[in-house]
Amino acid sequence: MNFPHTIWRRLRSRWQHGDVKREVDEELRFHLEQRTAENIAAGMSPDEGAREARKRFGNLQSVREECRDRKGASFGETLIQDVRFGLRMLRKNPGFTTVAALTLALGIGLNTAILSVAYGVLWRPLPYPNPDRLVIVASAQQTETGVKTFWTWAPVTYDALRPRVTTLDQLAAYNSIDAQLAGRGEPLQLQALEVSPNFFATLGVKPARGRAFLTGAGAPDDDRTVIVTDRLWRTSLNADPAIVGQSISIDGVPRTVVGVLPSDFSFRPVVRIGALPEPDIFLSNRWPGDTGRNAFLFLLGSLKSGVMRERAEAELTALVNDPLIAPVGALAPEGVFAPNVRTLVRAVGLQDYGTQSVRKLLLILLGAVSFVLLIACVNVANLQMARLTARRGELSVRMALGAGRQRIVRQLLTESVVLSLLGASLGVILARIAIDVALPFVPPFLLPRLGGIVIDARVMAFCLGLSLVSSLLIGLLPALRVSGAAFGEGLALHAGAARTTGDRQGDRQGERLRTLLVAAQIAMTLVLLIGAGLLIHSFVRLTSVSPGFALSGRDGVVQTVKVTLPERLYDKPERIHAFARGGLDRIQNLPGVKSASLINSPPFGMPFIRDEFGIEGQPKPTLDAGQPKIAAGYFKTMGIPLLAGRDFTARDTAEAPKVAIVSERIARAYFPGGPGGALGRRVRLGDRGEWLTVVGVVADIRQMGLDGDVQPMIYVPFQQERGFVLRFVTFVVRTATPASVVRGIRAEIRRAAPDLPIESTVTMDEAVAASVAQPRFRMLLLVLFAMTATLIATCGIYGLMAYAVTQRRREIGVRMALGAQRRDVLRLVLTRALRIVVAGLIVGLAGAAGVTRMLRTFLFGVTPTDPIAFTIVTLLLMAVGLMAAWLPARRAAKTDSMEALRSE
Amino acid sequence: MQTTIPLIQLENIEKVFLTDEVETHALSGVSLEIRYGDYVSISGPSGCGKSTLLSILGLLDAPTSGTYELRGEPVANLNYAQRARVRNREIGFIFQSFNLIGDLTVWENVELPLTYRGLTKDERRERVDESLAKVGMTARAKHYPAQLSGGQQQRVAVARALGGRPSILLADEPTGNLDSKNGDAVMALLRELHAEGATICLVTHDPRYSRDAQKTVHLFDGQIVNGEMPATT
Repeated sequence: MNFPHTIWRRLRSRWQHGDVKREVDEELRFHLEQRTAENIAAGMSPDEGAREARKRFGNLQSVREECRDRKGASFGETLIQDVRFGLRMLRKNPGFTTVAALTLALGIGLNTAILSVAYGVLWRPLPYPNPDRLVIVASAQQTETGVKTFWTWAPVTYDALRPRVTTLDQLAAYNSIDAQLAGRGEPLQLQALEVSPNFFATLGVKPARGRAFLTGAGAPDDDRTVIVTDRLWRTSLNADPAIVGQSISIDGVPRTVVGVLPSDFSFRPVVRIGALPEPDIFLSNRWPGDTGRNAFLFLLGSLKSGVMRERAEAELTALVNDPLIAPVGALAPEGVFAPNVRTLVRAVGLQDYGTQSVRKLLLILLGAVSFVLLIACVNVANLQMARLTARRGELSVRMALGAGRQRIVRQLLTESVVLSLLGASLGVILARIAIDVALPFVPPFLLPRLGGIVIDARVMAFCLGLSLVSSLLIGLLPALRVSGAAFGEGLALHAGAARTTGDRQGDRQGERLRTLLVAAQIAMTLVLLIGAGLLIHSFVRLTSVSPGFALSGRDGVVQTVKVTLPERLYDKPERIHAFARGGLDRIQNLPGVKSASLINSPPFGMPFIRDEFGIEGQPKPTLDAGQPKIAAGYFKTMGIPLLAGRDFTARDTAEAPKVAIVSERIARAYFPGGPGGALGRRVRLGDRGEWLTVVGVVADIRQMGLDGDVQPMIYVPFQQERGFVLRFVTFVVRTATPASVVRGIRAEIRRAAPDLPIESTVTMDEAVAASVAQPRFRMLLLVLFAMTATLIATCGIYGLMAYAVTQRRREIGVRMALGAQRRDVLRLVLTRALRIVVAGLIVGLAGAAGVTRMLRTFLFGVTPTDPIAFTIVTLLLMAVGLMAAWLPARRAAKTDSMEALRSE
Repeated sequence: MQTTIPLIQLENIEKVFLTDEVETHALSGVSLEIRYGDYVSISGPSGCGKSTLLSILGLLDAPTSGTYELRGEPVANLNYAQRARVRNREIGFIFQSFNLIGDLTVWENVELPLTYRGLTKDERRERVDESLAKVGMTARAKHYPAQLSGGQQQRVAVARALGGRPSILLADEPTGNLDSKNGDAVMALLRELHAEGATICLVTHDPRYSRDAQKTVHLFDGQIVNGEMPATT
């Protein structure tokens, strides 16, 4: 009979018990009457025929019971009995129940927490009507090493593609910028997104108040309107219900609020280095004046219904390769793509694109917590096995009384399900607490879509599934043991009496299995611990890298204060110079300031512009160089050693001869004679810039992070620069009292520019720490999981050895009676534990050598088979294993031989 | 029930245990017939094969060779599930160490074998109440075994055996863990049940109790050394 039918029959019987009983009785009566009629037809008298029929049928009650049983009449009742008995057993063994439920809760809780994060980030559908149809359009080229992708486009290319593409419903463009809100209390630095007017139509989102941007030709929205998020509307615009139609000042320009987005709206722009914060405002733009080849727009498309991505990619590829349509040379900056190689277009799902930076990490974390759950299940299975030995009497009595093995297995599995559900309930609570406590500490740039992380019905369903899988894992081995030949109903005859050879044989089998399980736990724990060890070693290596400038020390810390000068008010370099000069003069005189300077692109911050450069009389260098604009005193403040020449001074003004200071890497690469050889030589930025005389050489620094190479630099005096990059001003101050200095700087900036918001105030220590936040985050998580696994595995070893010592108490008593010393007993137990641990470690080492390759992209300065991490972690786990066995071993060594011999 | 077919018919039963390449002949050429309503006692010294014989009679174990018919049906070679089913319906066990399940109440212990059948709740209730009343333990229905004396526990075990209305009661040293007073009381209960028509097979060391039986089987080294068959009543 097929399985669904059986289930249906049993379910039906649960509700229609009376019907089944009646049905069986009627069926039996029918067969009896048939047989009687046949007998009468064969010549018997009616009485004789009926008697013969009954005789042929045998014990009618037995047949009736058997039929009912086969029809499943008692399934529901026995299930309830099993559940009730399971609960009673759990209540009667609070020690076991607590340990098992907590162990499972840890495993299931960690899995639930990480899955809710992974689901919320990677798989929860984006909050738009047709999230699967949204794609980010990128250009790409097939190279020898793989596909090289370039994500942004020039406005001219966008304008060429948008009206021509037929496979997309909409093609929108966006660009992330900074903006400032003024006139509504404290000036605010905002995240803004410049978007094409059809941006919201592409997403399929309508504002909750007001309207979206007008998309028609010649629409009057450009440069004068703004759409705000619900968050900004509530926090900074006082949730004014009449905000639509009002004007707010953005970057000093009045803009009319035309819409407020729904509260659940979310759009997280992602750039190469990670996710940016959610925008606060959206500004309509068509980039009408931008006809250059600068590619800075992200393109967001909405596939037409029924159109596959491949079709859209093919169409867009054809369009961008048509020189009559797409402007030649505007696809990517020079040098990004190889000439004479066809440019392809990729349409990457918006969700995949937005989460690709964390996908691998989250999948690895999911794998790690699966290991923890597996270890937890193995531990509880082991406890169940030990308990099974204690329950042999009860189970064999059940068997003797007629319970089939299937029935016993069902009972054990039901008990496991009850236990798992208890563990799962606790696990969900733990997961909830973990998420509530931990998420606020996770910087938004580490995980995109933080808001999507909740324990909802899907996660709960997963948790339920997990608990059922766990119950199978923890119930299966005991169930298999029950099915084994050594575990027989015949034991009932001996239950409560002296143990037999069969009992001992069964015990030995059980113990072997338990030993195997503990060794497996050790192996899995070692894999996790080595993973954590590798990340720790990698983190230590990373944080021991010098950034090239002095962090906190006896001179205090380097405090930075960043502002972005709005283009409308600071459209001339002279204004910016005046602001910078005036601000710096006042800041240098603040109490507590040891030295102060400014830079437009501080290390470990944004923006950072790297470009080619030239050296007079030399071929074009192959290196690109960072080109920060700095004021005098920058190197002193930052603690960057001056290796040759001089620092910039106040005399390096716009009118003075143009000068530059190069970093050691450039000096050594291009100027023979070391740092001194660069002095007096001339360099220029880009390939057409003015020649600048090198007046100094400074030590190298790491600009973008500790894991990057040192960055070649050409420093230029702030006062000699005239480009737009000057608008990004970061004051740097060496001080021992950063808090009061920041207050002073704030006051000075407010005095100079009342509407100018402070964008950030961090110390360089904090900036460096933030740059390693992601490695620290994944290291801490993996360490947490590995510690949990170690704790569980330690309990496993302890439990096994404690149980073995109890089982072998008499043997130990005999040994001691025969002259064994305490240290002999200690050695006996510890040697056994060591064998199990070493067996687990060997398997674990082999497993780790394979599994840790997945961590390769997260490692810095260490290989996935780093001998230091492997050795230390292995020895550590061995020591932990022996420590766990030490207590039972000590107890065994204290055995009173006479008492042990009398006890059995 | 009166019929010409014996309830149990053992023919030339052998049981050999193999452990570490050593053959142990627990039973050799044992033949035995038990009729409906018989009271059979099996006795013999320790290690003579009493428990092995009882295991085979109770379908807790299978013979190595020989035939075993229960109510005329061969049962020696049933598979595990069939044995469990027949055992549950045809055989009631009374163990020396009672083997009550400590985590179940008296009532639930008696109900336990009935839950392995397709009986309705009402039917189970009726049978459990009836069985407990028969052994005088109704008042202790909600107690747990640990709250009972040894004699009371054995009475509950008898009630559990009776509840399934088995064809035969197999009692393995039912007084072995009891003092003489409680032992006598249990044996009196068995006598009473036999008088009511129950078929009983008793394993005992105690000659006083084996005298209660109509037929005594003496085992020695796995073989029946004599069998007496008093006139049927």
